[in-house]
Amino acid sequence: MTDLYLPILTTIFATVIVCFTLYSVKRGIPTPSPTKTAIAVIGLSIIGGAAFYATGAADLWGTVKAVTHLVAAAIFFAAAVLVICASIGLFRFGDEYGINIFYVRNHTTGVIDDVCALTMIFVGLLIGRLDLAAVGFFFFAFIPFVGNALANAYYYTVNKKRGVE
Amino acid sequence: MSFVVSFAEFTFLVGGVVFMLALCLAALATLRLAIRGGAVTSLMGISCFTTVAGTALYLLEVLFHIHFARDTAIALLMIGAIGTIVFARILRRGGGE
Repeated sequence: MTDLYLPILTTIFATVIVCFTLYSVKRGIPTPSPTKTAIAVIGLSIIGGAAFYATGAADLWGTVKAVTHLVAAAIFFAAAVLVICASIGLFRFGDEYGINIFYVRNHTTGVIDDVCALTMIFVGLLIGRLDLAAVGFFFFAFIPFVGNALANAYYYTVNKKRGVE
Repeated sequence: MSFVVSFAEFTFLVGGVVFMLALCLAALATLRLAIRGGAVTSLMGISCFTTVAGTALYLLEVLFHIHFARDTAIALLMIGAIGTIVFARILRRGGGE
């Protein structure tokens, strides 16, 4: 009987996270601010975990594992929305927008890079996989250099030759 | 195992798979960028593709315990980023597009 409820509850959970993230994307700013969201997520995790532990259905380690896996799943769903939005942007911005569309694409690929790196960091920390977090952090440190090197190469090979600033 | 624990593990698995599907869409977009653009644009597309592929491979190891995927993912992420910087410097000197 409980197996029947698992997909339904997962679908509801994913829908709430996806709608929240899409609303933030539509507004152009995080809703609410990242600081408030982090505090709300941590508070809800502690309250939910304490309530679950009080029922006695699982031990302390099982409770912590359940809460961290749920938060990691929420990060996965939110990251999937952001990656899909960035991919649609990459598909839509074609060459008809002029030669400076390169910088828009560079920014969009930077969004995908950032989302991947931050997902690896936070999911790795939440599920206790420090190797995943370390690789994500190492890669996160490289992203600005990659974007800058690409923009620099494009500027000196295309913009400057054509006299476009 | 209680219902909440199984719900958390199931949701984590579904979230990971959904994120990997989103990464597949991003891989298609970056491949299109790499095929249709000039030299620097192609380099940008390939750089983003290595990121997407590396992340997807690492998640493959995390979710399904396929251990060889982790080594490939680390190699893709590290060498992809460093190689992009090196080739961008070469293209800047040589004139890419």
